[in-house]
Amino acid sequence: MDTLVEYKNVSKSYASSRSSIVALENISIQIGHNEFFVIIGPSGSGKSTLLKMTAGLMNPTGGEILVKGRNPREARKDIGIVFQRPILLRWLSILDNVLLPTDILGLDRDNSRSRAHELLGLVGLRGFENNYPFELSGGMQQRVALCRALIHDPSLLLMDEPFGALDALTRDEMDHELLRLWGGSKTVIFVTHSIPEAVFLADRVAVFTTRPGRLASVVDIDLERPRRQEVRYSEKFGKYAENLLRTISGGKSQLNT
Amino acid sequence: MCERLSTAIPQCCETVLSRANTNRILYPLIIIIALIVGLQFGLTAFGVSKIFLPTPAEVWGSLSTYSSLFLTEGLFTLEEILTGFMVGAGVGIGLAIMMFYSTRVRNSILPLLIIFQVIPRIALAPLFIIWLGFGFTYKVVFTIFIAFFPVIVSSIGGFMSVEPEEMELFQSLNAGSRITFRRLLFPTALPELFSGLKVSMTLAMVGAVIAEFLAGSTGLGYLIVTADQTLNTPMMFGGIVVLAIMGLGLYGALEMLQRLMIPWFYLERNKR
Repeated sequence: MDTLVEYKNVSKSYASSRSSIVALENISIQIGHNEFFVIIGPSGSGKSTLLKMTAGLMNPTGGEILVKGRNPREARKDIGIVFQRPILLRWLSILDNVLLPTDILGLDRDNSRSRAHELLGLVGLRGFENNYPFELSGGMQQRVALCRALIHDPSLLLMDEPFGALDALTRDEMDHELLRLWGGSKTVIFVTHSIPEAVFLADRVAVFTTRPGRLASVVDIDLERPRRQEVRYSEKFGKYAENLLRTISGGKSQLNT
Repeated sequence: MCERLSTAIPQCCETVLSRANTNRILYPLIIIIALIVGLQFGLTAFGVSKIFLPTPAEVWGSLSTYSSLFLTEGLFTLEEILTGFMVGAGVGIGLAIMMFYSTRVRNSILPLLIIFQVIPRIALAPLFIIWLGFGFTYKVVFTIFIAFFPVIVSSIGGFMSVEPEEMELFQSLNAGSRITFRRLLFPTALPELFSGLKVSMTLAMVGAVIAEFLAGSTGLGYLIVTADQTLNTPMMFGGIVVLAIMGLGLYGALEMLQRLMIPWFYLERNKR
């Protein structure tokens, strides 16, 4: 496997007034080219922290993160991020929101413009180019955020619970759409705390435990691609989900939770 | 379906907007006209002295007789207001930017600003007269000091309302502080900045007129004080009417600038 992102003994602790709080402890993972990698864990397991460090928004307090063999800060042009909320700029049209990274990174606007139209078409937002964000629903706004993260064609896409705020139906639909857009042609690191979402999307799932955030295990999801919604009802899918739940609850069988 | 939605929304916004606009102009206008007519008849019927309270017709008479006087003095005052407002707003925004970016600047300036804010600034006017004389400079400086504070408060409030995730988005794109200011902080602050500017504009009018009350021999403030000394109440009211019209014009100009610069703000607000 060709490595794109490498975590070497990564730790992160926050200094508070009395003591220091350990958010992440000794994380070592290698993520391959074009892999769909999902991180799952309860709140406070440091998964968002890991994602932010991967984007170069924070530094680890121990260990090292390499994106394409470089410090994440130097790889920023090659990273796209989707946050928990769409955070579109209220004063820009949908098209200009998608083009924002182009302007900031100083890329060619004409090329990007046609790419923006194409991306918006792919997520079903053709015809909304000149609308303002407030005219769109939450799901539509998050689709725009996805287009914005992809406009500069990054090889690494970081997603921090991007569909967590959406209703269950929209969420399933967005997962499916995301897989279609991804098509095995990018590396994605996707943070979630939904087990079905993790199984549906991932090539591999990393399970984090909480306080301090540790890597409990990495599970291979061996389901055929392309995946369709029906796969959610297969026996194999159920097995994977059950397995993950056991790992998350620390081996104790708490299936009734 | 999608196309229908996208065209339907702006259209419905526009009709709501224009109806709201006519109501906002029409109803107050009716009340003002009723007030003028009522005053005219009431004051004549009860034979109230024009030194005590002149009728609208007498005020109009004064305005038309001395129209060129009102115009020249009005222009003096307008010049003071505009200069004071613009310099004050500029200083306010500049201080706000410095205070936003540097904690050291914020910590050292903020206590001074608050102390300065709690001193009734009118008490400082005699000092300004000693330092700067009776002329234009004194009046403008006084106006600046009266007007700049709301702009500082509203700009800082506006910059602070940028959300951490928005900053992270820009950071993740390697945006320098200039681009982040121009493309994120400034546009975010604009709606709040405009409400500060409107308050500052009205304060600038207060500042200029008070400065003219206290010293010098020009402007509407001076005109009103002089008319007072000769018991020329219609002329005092004439000065007040000119100030009111000027104030409305300045406020309206700011409102229009705001609509030009942040149209999305109105569309968004009308939807909610």
